[in-house]
Amino acid sequence: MTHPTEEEMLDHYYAGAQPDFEEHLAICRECHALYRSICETLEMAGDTALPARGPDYGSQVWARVSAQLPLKSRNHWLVPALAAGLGLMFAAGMWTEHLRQKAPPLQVTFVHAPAPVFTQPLPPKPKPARVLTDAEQDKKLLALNTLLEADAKKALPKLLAVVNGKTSDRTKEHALFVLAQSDSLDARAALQNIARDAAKPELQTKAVRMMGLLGDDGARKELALAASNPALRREILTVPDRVTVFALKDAPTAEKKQILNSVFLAANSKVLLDVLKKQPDAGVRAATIRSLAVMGERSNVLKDVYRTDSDEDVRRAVLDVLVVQQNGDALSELAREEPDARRKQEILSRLATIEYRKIQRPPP
Amino acid sequence: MEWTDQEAAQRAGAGDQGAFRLLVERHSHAIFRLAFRMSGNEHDAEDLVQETFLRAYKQLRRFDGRSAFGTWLYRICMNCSLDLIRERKKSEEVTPNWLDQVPGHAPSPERLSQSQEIASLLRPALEQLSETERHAFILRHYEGCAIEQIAEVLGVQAGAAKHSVFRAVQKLRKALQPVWEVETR
Repeated sequence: MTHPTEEEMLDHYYAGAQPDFEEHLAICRECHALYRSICETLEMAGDTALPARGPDYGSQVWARVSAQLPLKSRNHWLVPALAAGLGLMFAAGMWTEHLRQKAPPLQVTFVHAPAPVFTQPLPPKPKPARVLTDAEQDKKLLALNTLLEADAKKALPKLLAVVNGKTSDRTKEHALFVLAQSDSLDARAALQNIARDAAKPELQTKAVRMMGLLGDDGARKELALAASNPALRREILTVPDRVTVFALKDAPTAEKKQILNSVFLAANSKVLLDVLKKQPDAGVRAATIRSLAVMGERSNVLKDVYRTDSDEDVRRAVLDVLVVQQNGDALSELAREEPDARRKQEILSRLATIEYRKIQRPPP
Repeated sequence: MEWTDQEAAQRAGAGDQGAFRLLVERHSHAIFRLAFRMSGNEHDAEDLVQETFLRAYKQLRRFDGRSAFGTWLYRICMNCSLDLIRERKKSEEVTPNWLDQVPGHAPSPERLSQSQEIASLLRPALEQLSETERHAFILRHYEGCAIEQIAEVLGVQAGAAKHSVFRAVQKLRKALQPVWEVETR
């Protein structure tokens, strides 16, 4: 055997014994030394000591991962429901109606003759278009939801026909919901177009609401756009928990403030208080406090924020607001409670800036 | 019924979360092992495991079944760890500390006395390896992957993967030469 290369030696180390190789090492001191140096190196590299993970580690990982999976898979229950819906619709012949109209049945006329005589097919009788009930529309929409996932180009025109057709408000809303749930870019674009179409204000309002439910980047932008329209702004605020607060989640600070501004303009202090409780961004909380103050929110809520919020900027915002409100009672109450000397000094310095009539000079 | 990885991946790609759960539970330990070796600490390793499975879920439709599912996951994990390392490099210079535990198995007393010296030599040597060399070495030496599997994970030809392992070992050998020369005397 010729002298093995270093790569062959490495192969031997990892891949296992080759008799020729072993024999060669036994007689060639040079190769033996080189191979030994490779083995020494790899043994020194050793193995990293891995932290232990228990047998249920996979379940723990799943618990963390599943919490972050996209919403889409939540609709998995739709599959059997859709199958049933499609079956019912097929039985009702709703989807084959247009086929029957295109290809009318062959009319056979029996006359008093020994053999039948085939006549020309009769023109189909014009059937009045049957208006589907809401329940039937729901089944149709379920079917369209599946079709949208499989082939958006086919499903989208049908879905838009439902949205723009003579259907009930409830059905239109359901159709928009189906659009909002889809991953299809075409569906998303269609929803955005409806949300921007001021010519159909009722549909626009519903579409904006659906955008709010999405809560992703595109939807947030649409909400920010919609917030500039007073009529839509009111719509955004009608479902604060599901839209405004959701839209604020993870939004860039500038957009959050824009949405908050729209809330402020609509004078919805309930939403702002809700935001104050749930919003992790201290800058946004501080902005909310200022908005609340201008709207005349009185001291109890603000004092509670000062007591419970650990962020210095938020606390300062509360103090500033109390100064603006000339609320000496609240400031003095907070000053009395404040155990930290520096903060107490800060409150007192603010208190000094307002004419607080109740400040009593200590008795001489 | 016990699905194969390929069957489970196919079902998960069609939206079956139960199938994806099976895959997560089946591969979590292996991905954690690799993530820990790539990142060097438990906290980052856990983040990498999570990120790997989330990316895998999003890309399930791209999994064509030509490679083993585990190999595909390894590749995603590698990419996640590269992203993490690049992110870290932007903000601060961080040295991977996975060598802190080297060597980990049954060292002799003499080896123990040398462990600090080995670590002090091994660390800069590993830092000098290119990303491909380091990944190839980790997969070969610690994960026991075959050359073909390493090639799939790294997205290179088998010859290139083999050469990367070789170059890595060569650099390590050169760096550790003072230690093993002392040992052989």
